[in-house]
Amino acid sequence: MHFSAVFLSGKRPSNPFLSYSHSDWIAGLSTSDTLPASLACVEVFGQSVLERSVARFKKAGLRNISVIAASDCISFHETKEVRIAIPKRTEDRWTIVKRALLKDLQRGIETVLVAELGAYVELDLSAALQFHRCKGQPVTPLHDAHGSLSYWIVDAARVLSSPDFSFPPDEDRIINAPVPYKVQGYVNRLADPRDFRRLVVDAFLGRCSIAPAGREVKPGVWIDEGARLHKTARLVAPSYIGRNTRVQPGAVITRCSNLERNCNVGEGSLVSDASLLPHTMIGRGLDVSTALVDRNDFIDISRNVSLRIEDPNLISNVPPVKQVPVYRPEYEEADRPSPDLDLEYSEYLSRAKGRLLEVFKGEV
Amino acid sequence: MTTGKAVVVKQLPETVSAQQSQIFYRELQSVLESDRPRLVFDFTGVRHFDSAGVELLLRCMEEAMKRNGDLKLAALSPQLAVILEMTRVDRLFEIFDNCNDAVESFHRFSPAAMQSIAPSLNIVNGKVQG
Repeated sequence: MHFSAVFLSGKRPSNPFLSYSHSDWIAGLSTSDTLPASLACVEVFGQSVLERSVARFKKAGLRNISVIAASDCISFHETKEVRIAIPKRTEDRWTIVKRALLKDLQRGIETVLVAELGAYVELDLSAALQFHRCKGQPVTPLHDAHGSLSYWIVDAARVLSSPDFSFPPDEDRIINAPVPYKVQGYVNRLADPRDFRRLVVDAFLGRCSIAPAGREVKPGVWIDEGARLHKTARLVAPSYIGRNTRVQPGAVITRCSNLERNCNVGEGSLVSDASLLPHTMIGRGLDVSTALVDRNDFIDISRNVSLRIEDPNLISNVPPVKQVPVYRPEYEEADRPSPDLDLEYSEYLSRAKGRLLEVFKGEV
Repeated sequence: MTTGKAVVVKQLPETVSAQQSQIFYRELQSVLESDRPRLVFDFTGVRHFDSAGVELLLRCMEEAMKRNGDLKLAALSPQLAVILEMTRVDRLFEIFDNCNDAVESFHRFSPAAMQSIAPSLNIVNGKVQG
């Protein structure tokens, strides 16, 4: 297939967003010298939307994929056949896109999917490509019921040679406005934290093709590698515990909550209808509900309020160090049986021990 | 129900940290040690509030309760409401939009409070119906 893709993304939204109003957060931190913040760089079940999009298009047979994003959202395990560019400023991104199109053209690739993430889109690529070829237009914008998704299929040669054409493609300014392709599959614009939570819930409920990573230890409960759960912690389906995350005694994780890698939920805390992004620590006895927590930053989705908390008794940052698994009898590794099974197992053992004590008259 | 006992409205400092909490508590000790203390904490100017602030609220509440008094909170920002909800102390306090409402609440019977104790009762204008 002589077809390639260019994915643009900004930077991972992080600490500075709290100094901006909520509307700025939605729009991203678009200043002249910073890249826009994009929720496409935030992990959902161990992988960001950017990484998932690249993986999906690679699986669909696309080669020479280019990714233009900030360094903090590029952590591809497999960078083979993926070109990565890290722009310093927002304006640089579109210059790099033009360069990527030119390079593709030199390789004989004429049709390129340019996607500014943003949105998580489950696209039938062959149908979209066929539509683009049938229409014979230089640019085919991809739309859903609410309008443009900032995805475009472009003919590199025609676009680069046209003096009227600019990046990002302004659909209103293109002469003979192109006919958009209506995406039929799952779309989430990831415009704000509420959309992010919706993506998590949709993934849990199977409304999109994102599936939790790790092992499904009981129906609807996924535990990733190296996660450690205390035997008195309760995981209520659907829920996801990421890599090397710890759940302390008596904690409850419930209602489509996802704890990404290296998190720590304190003793007796409740995480309900919430997402904990990597390296987030929740203190003891807290109630984290309808929220998105990113290290020190707490976003209450129901109230539409964000705040920074710098108090280790409440929420804080787990330092990103490699955790060496230590065997502790009171903790169970993710690879061991599920908590229910473990409980039955221990009850069985205690009954067996009682029986042995009777037989051997207290000599055991 | 009306009594002549005065209600003390106390404005919290801009930063309620461990150190500030101790100073604030010391200032308040004489009021808390009086008979049936009636207190309203005004959160209008609070910009920084952490677990030390939550401890302060619980300590003051405990002292007030010991002497048959009460502590109510007023003018909480949405951010503070999030912290109180997260630490599960929001359900321990009566919270009002402003100080006037909080002070007023000490001088009248609260049907809402009664409703929370006995939800099956039909209370209209402070009187139990039917």
